Amino acid sequence: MSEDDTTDADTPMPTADPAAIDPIRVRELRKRYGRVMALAGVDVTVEPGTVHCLVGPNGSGKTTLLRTLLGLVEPSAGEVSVPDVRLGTAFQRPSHYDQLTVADNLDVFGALADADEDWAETVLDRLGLDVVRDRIAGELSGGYSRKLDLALALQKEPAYLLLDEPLGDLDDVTKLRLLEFLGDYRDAGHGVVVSTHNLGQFAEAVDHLTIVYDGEVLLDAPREAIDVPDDDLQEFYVERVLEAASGAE
Amino acid sequence: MSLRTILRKELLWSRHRILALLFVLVLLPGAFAGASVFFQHVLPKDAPVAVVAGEDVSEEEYDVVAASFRLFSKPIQYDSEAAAMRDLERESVYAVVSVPPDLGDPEVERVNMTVTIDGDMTPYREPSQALVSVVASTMNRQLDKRVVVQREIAGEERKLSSYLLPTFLTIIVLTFAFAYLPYNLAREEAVLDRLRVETSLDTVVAGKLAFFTALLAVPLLVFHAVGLAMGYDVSLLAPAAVAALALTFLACGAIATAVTFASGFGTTGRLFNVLLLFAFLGFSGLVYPVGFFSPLRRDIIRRVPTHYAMLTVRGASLRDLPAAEFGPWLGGVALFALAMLVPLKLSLLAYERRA
Repeated sequence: MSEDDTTDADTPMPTADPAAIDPIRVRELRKRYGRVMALAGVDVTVEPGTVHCLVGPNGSGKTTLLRTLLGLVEPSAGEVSVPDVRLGTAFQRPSHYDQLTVADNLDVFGALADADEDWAETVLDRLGLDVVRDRIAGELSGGYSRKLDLALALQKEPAYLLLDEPLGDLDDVTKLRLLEFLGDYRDAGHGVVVSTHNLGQFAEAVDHLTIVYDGEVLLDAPREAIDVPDDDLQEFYVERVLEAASGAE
Repeated sequence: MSLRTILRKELLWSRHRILALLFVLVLLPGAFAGASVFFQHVLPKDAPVAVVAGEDVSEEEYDVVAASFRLFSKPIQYDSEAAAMRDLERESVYAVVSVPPDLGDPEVERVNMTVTIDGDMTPYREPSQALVSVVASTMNRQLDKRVVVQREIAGEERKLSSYLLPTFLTIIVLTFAFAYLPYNLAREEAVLDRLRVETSLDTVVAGKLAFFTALLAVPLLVFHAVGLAMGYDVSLLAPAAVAALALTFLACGAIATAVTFASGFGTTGRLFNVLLLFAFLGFSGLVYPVGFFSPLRRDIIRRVPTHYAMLTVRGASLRDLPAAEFGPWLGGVALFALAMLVPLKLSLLAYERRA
């Protein structure tokens, strides 16, 4: 794929007015799976026009929180307030029709979301999916498979984009392009929620940080309130988690 | 050494698949072995036979005729031949005999009696010959007059191959519902979360059932075309037959989908659907008339809605009976399909709660 392939999209990024979109609010959210407390009283507010990173180690409750915001998980207790706007999502595992082509997947989910076809083309181009548009999705590499899920999320012009480990399986060049794309999407007024255990990858893009550990929020703060350089942000997060872990012992 | 390691791995795997293994190794063989209890006779022992006793027939005369049928049949008293013939077409009885009014007349030395069977009920044709011989022999022993029992075939004698066409089509429908539909759903498990965000599981499942029901038009047309090519007199496109097949698929598809979601797309659910497929194949009276079976199996079959769907498909396609004849049966199968939406909805709710 040449550089030209990724820049020839001429449909402008759809814009949203953050002032017109309510934030996502989560208060005292609890989720219990049998004897396991996945979320133990979580408070988070996601503002539109920001990149909000939910960061935490494996099993900390990030995915459960994200799935709760999407309405896929019923809270055991607490309050989840998601405005009546479009939500786009890319899950940790591939979530598209394996037996359809890339173009067919975009067509089906685009129709479900009443997506703008020109914008869908732009997304296809910017994610470098145009070269595989006629390939069967189940035959795609891990990276392309993830890009397809991102395209399915983005083509519906969601007011909030909720992404679970979106950079896994992607090569470094694609990661950079995607981060740039997410930054543009945020700048256009949309909210982006990213669940990740690798905060370093999002250090330059993050506007708000929530560190989750063992179902609880260790830190919830805007980026400017955290006096740590971008390069040290991952280390900062790991130290907070290690402190909490040693405190728990 | 490596073989020992591989065997150890198999043991470890077994520990984690204990439910599926119990199902395959214990429940399934047990069910099949136990099912042998339903096969007790080669010839039908108590297939229902209509014994028509008109106003001029005494109770004693009826009793003599009914008794002569009891060895291989279950006689059922009818007041009119028309009602008996109607039930013959609906497979409620497998033969019709009218009690001769002069049976008890001591001055009559010879009595003729006719046992009518349905030409479309191919599997009953040969057993009915044995039945006629037994009835004639019994009556001649009991009465001091000559009784001639003749067998009459209503309609044309249908070939077994032609008779089996609606049966095979129903088997295809059941297999489609219990085997292919769950397989297709499982292939799309990964995309369900996205679909739940974009629409709802209810819509997804409704779309799936509607699409596959419509898709059944293809095997239906194939069977119809093959039937035409073979020169069979079978109307598989009769509205009542099509409705019965569609309702059967909807009901069984709903059950199979409910099992699939309730089991979380697990192996146990797939195997359970296979067991259900065998159960419906065995207890819908697909090939043989229900009168052929043991009383226990017959009682079960008469409680299985798909049995009435099979009767409707056979009746509509082989005998060209009008759709109105099958109203109550089709209504029953439709109610069954509607009722199966309840476990389906519950399984979807359970799946969403677990997800």
